[in-house]
Amino acid sequence: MSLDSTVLAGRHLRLMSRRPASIMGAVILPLLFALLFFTVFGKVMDRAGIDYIFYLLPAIIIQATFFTAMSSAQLAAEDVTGGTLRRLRVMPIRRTAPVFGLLWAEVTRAALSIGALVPASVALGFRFRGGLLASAGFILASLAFAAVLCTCFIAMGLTLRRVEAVQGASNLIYFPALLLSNAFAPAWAFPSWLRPVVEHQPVSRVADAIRALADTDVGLTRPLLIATTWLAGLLVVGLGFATRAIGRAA
Amino acid sequence: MTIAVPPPARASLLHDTMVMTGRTLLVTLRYPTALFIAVVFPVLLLLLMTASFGTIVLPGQGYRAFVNFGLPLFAVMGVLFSTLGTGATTTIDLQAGFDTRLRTMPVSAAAPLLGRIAADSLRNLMTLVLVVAVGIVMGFRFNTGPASIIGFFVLPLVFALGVVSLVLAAAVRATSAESLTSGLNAGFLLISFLSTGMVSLADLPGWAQPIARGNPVSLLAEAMRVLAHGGPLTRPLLGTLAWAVGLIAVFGPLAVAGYRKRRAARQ
Repeated sequence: MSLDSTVLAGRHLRLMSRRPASIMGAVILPLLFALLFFTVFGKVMDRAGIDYIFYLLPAIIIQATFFTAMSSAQLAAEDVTGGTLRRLRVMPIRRTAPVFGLLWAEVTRAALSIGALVPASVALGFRFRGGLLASAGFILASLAFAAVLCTCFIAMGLTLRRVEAVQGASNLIYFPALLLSNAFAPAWAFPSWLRPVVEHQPVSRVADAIRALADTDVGLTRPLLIATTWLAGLLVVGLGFATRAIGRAA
Repeated sequence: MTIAVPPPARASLLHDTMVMTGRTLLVTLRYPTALFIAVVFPVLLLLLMTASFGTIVLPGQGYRAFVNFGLPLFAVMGVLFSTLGTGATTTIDLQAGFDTRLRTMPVSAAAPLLGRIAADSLRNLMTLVLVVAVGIVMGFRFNTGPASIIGFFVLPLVFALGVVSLVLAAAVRATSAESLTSGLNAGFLLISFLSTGMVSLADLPGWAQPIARGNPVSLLAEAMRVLAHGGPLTRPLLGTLAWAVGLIAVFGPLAVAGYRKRRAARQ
């Protein structure tokens, strides 16, 4: 983390704190979704044998991470169209500092979401079933997912540039990626022809790993290995596209 | 010698409203987010919520049963969240001085607001038809007569008039489109979820049941279910109409008063 990135991260955090939609998306909407999903589906999930608040917290963390990633794509696009990137390019800073600055700010924002969601879920009945180390791993894995997802979305924002196009693309990724995963409902509930997709897609694999870290007496190696592989792959793709796009945009 | 003087341009309420309706529809069609919420969002909800929660909410009954149960709510959510776009574009127009500019032209004073409301209704009808079309492919069926089927489409449009009154009353007072939509978004999420649209009343926790019972979204979704599949109609129908009339009576005048003030103040 270079000083340039830190300064630019500070700029983004200040910009975010002045946007009502950003605060809504980081803290209030995730809390609202946690409460609403738990209220509406708690009983039917209980009937299906699922402790829903335990199942739900990773889903809401992943959803909040998507909100954060979608905001990062939009901010990246605004920095291209608004000329901020060009302006920064002529200044004596690292070429990658704008990307890492934004990334650093968005991961901070994701940490804020998690910091609001975990205590609220505990109030609704969530408990970490594993040890201290696994629970710390739960938070770290969530933040790692945030870093990777934001990298990919920043790359998308820098590539598509037009804010409207970025919003459209974000929504088209967000709904299927989240709702065709085992985040909110278990894979067995889906139609059999959809199940293979639901089980193997990256959001489900990350949810598996995060859930395993909150649970006790479950194998950790397999879910962690699969999730790490997915995240590493996505990170490489995201960084590749981001580097390519920043060369063109500036 | 006589000079042919063209008659002074005169405002015509009907014509001007139609022009404004067309203009608002064009704005919606060219604003990708608004189009997404009106067209893609409710269809995605129907598809994805059915695939994920269908057999959990109605165990042993199959996905088709959930499509018939849940479709009204997802259609109503498309309508509800689309009015946010009407509100946002109104706030943007007012900030840009578009409506003040219209004031200097021979345009009927009521046309700008009426046109926006008419465009809102047309877009809502499009959303309803689309969701039902996709629903029919997924197994949604009407088991009632033509009058009930017409009612199925008209009732949400009537309710939406109440919602758009509320949204416009807020939009003419909002300082930015973003603060308007993020505030209303949370409220619309609350009434969409805390309803009997996705699960039955008995499956909600005790504290949420009275809210869900009186919630206009529950009443509307139940009335639409009855209009599609039959059952006792009086309570949900009258309840929905009472909410619609109440919202229009309270927020209609507030929207008009706020609009006049805002347009005159030119900001």
